[in-house]
Amino acid sequence: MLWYKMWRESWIRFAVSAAALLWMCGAVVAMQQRVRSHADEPMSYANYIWSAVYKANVLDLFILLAIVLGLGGLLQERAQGTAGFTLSLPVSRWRLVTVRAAMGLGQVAALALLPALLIPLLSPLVGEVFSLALALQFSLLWATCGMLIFALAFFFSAVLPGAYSPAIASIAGLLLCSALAGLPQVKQYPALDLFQTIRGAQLSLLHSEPSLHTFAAPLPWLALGVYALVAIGLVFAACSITVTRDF
Amino acid sequence: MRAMALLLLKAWRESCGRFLLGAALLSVICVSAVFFRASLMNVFVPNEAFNGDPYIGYIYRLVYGGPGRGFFTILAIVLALGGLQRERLHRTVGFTLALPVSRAWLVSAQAILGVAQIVVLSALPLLLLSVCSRLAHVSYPPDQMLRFGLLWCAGGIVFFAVAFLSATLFSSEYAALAASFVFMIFYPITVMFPPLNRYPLNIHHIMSGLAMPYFDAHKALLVGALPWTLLASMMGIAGALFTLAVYVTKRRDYL
Repeated sequence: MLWYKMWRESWIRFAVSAAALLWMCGAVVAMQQRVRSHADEPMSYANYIWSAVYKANVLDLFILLAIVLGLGGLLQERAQGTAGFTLSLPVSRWRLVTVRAAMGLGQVAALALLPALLIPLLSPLVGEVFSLALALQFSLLWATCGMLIFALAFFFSAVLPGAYSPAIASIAGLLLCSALAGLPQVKQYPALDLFQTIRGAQLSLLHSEPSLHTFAAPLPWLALGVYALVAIGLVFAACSITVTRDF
Repeated sequence: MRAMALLLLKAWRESCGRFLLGAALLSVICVSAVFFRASLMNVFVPNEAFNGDPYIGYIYRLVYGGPGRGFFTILAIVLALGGLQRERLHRTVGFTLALPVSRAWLVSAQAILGVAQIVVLSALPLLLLSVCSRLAHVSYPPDQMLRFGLLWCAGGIVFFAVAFLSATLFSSEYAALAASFVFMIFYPITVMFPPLNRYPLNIHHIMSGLAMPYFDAHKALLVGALPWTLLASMMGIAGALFTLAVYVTKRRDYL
């Protein structure tokens, strides 16, 4: 029942997010001919998909939607006057928070998977091919980095009152991460650059590959592991704060 | 007038937290841009050969055409959310609707305050960059800041109006936020399609000047006259969205 409650609280934003991502991926595939013909330099289909989906607009949308999915929680329920009901349920606060986090993380992972399902499926309709394996690699990057972004918003939702202040704080936090990652002292550790990792910059073979048949690049497992650990740490911190807070 | 003043106070009390937080973070971006420029210039203008002053190019890349502008756009969206739909969730809508003012006034007060907040936020870089640049013995042309401020203000009001309408339509406050974010990203893609791609309709580009005839990308400077007709049209669209929000609010059953 707790899972169902969490689903009911977040399904509208998840549905809006999923519909938007599917529509945008579909639009990117549909307009590939037009965009590529107007590009300054000849662009392979794989490079085009990477530029439009995994590097730019659709990625930006995914990041913002991961933040939106992380919002909410008991602090916001207090403003709505429903925190008393939720806290009186016969489950521990720890379980309340972890189930909500797990539901959110699952939704982020599902959103990350959508481009991988849609783009390889639609590409043959426009006479192109996009490897499912490659798309899944990007989905793994999105899912793991998205977990961290979700966890950041989740943490701020446990700390800051108000429905929207956690969103502002999360976006500011990501901007700070982006600026810090560009500093020379940090730049020597590319694993710490969240945005380069989520874009798949380490999979840079893509840039020079006219086709995907020879594509092969190891995923940045170390970076992904670090991000997953930080995400778990943030969720753990949010749980600890919620457990000790007087609502 | 007293009723409107009280409604504005109510709207301010509802949004002051996110406004002050947003203003503080935007201020941090602007102040850091000046005082940490030695490090940040390597990040935002790496080996970049601007024809003009590198500091001008750097401020454009970081504030007026980069993360600062993106953050401002998101703030404009976040400030627009709330209103009667959110009050319904908080179960205070009965109190608000029982106030001796029309629904149109309720919505208008929220819109007026939001627009004023956008104006303040768009003027914030002008104020902070002027003062901080002077303290740091560097200079950024004040007329450029004023012009970018106007572009930000016009674009910000449009994004505010879209989110405002979205907050009126969606019963879930987070769904309204998600829908507004979707618009923010989806809209520039839509205007790439013909026949829209023949017109300068990308608000992100209008705000930053990117690919616009009134912007010199090599010097990162606004040149010539501002697109007043375009800006007036944007205000007209924002006005229409506000009117639609009032219309929807008037007809909706909140109980």
